[in-house]
Amino acid sequence: MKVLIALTAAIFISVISMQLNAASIEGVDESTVKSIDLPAIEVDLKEGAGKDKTAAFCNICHSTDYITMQPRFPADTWSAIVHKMIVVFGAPVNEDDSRAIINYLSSHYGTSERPASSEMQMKQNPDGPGPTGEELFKRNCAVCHPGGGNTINPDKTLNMDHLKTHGIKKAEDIIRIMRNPGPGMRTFDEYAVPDKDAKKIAEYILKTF
Amino acid sequence: MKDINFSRRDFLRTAGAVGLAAAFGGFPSDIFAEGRRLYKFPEKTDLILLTSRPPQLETPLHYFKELITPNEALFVRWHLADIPAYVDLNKWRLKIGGNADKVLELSMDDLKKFEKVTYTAVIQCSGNGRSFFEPRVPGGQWQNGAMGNVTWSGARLKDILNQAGIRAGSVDVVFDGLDSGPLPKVPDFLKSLPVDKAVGEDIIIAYEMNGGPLTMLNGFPARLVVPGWFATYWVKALREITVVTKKYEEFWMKPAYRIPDNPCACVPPGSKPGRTVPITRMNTRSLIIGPSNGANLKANVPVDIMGIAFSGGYSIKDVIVSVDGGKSWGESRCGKDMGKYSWIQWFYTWKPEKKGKYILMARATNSIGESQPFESLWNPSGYMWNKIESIEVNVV
Ligand code: HEC
Ligand code: HEC
Repeated sequence: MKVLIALTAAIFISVISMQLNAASIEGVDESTVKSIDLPAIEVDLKEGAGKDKTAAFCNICHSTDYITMQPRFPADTWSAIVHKMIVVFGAPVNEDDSRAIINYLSSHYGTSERPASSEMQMKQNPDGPGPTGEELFKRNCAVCHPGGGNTINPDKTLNMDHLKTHGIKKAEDIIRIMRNPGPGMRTFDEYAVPDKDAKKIAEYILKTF
Repeated sequence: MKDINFSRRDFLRTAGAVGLAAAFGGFPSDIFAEGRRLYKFPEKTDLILLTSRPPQLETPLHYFKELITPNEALFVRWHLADIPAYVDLNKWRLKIGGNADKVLELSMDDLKKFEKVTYTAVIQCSGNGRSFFEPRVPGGQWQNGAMGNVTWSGARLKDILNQAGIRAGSVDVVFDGLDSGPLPKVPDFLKSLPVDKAVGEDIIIAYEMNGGPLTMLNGFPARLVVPGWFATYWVKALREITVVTKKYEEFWMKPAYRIPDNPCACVPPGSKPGRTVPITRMNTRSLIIGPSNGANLKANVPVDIMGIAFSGGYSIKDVIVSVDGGKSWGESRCGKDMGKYSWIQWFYTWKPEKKGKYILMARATNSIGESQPFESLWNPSGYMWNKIESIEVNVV
């Protein structure tokens, strides 16, 4: 863990010193110079075992949105990606760490919903194996529908009354909207949210708001 | 100095704006587009954020209603994290050497002394549309916005190579930009063209886009423009051009950026190709820009369906349009012809009579008969997406 922190710190410092160098060059003719400030944008990786290692190692050469922009991949695809980073690009990741990272990626950005080893499996889960409807809702929908509201279009909340007036009565109706949403909502295809999870989310919405 | 917390605060500010807009019943268009997050980078407008380091930014579709894509809206795609953020033209030189009589070190003023060539050309990432492939493949998850139509000006590469004097036995010309990998083993981004291609009439070292200097993120101070070919060759922020006597086959030429060596550049979905070749010329594409997918239209009111079409260096012969999911087709009217490298706009007037859902499709064919497939052709890198696009609209 110490190593990880040191590594990240070193990268931050080198970024800062690069900036300082650029700013402190003297005697330049401004009209011939072009310079920009690149933003540092934080990426929120999902919580879970292996997150810290992933956030540290997979952030060395590029931002971790390289991970979050990918669709859900099966474990062997994630394994192939991580090994490409090590073999082809020289990512300094040892065998233990790469196993932890692949496990994390397959659990949280993979096609199988069930984390290979995490607290989620141990919890008594009313929805059967895998994360609960509530967890899935928080992960996928809560940014725009916090507490069942709608931050983008306040006329289209997930409140039962609103849903009814818009002809949304059954879980199937909600799943249909996830697959083919209205303006301002992103599409959740079967890769983003498989059918069984879509059903859990829909049932959670119907019984909660 | 850069404030490292900038992004965080910026995001909070945007989040606040959403709350505010919601309170007034407004519709903030500026934080999400097509369901993805927008972000403003230097010299750029709000673009769809794929990755931040290095930046990969996609153009929202509505910009393609215009014939020319504005500089601030053109997509951004770098490969390696260390990209130029500071260039002093007093110091910058473009070096030309290798198997040549002379080594040239051209300043921007020198570059501008060569005859200036100007034309409009589509720039498109090889992986544009990658996110539509099934099964999905790793890489930049672009939708349709990794392209644009830009008027480029610059010096002919041929004229520069002639001044340097290419020697006999030259095979490839290799291009290197100011970007570099963050760790030693990360291969530097170098691309090559066969010598015969490099001395072609239309290849330029561009120092202007749409009449202004290049934006930093699009390759200031000068980039290669290989019209008709995918943008992977259009090396940004050029620093060195080297003529070599052996086929250049480093990482970004092989194994990266390759397609199956067969006429369709495709393999059965999920399988691995045998022989591969470098990706080169763009295939034919068309896109419906308006109305947008899912739009509500009024029955018995004529609507102008519009879109764009282009092909890798051949003019578009026709674009046909279907409003019934491909059962019947009609010919569209094409807009102004800006040359064989530019896209054209097409228009099709339609008066839907009955209420209901309609599937609209468009299919372009170029002057040598190349067109678009009904089913997508698959390759493991997700290149050359050009399936016939279809959108759904509701007539109410
Ligand atoms: C040594 C540098 C390095 C490290 C460390 C690294 N990567 Fe990469 N990664 C690259 C490069 C270079 C690319 C290609 C970038 C491009 O083309 O935009 C890449 C691309 C990717 C892609 C896009 C798919 C592809 O193959 O191009 C994914 C996904 C990815 N990396 C995931 C990871 C993960 C997960 C980790 C942590 C184990 C990681 N990377 C660590 C260098 C690195
Ligand atoms: C990017 C923001 C965003 C996200 C994320 C999002 N939604 Fe939406 N949602 C919206 C918007 C905007 C609308 C209104 C669309 C319209 O006008 O039809 C909406 C509408 C809905 C409606 C119809 C509500 C009504 O009263 O008619 C349902 C149901 C819904 N969303 C479910 C979900 C579910 C389930 C998820 C997560 C899997 C989700 N949404 C994620 C933005 C979002």
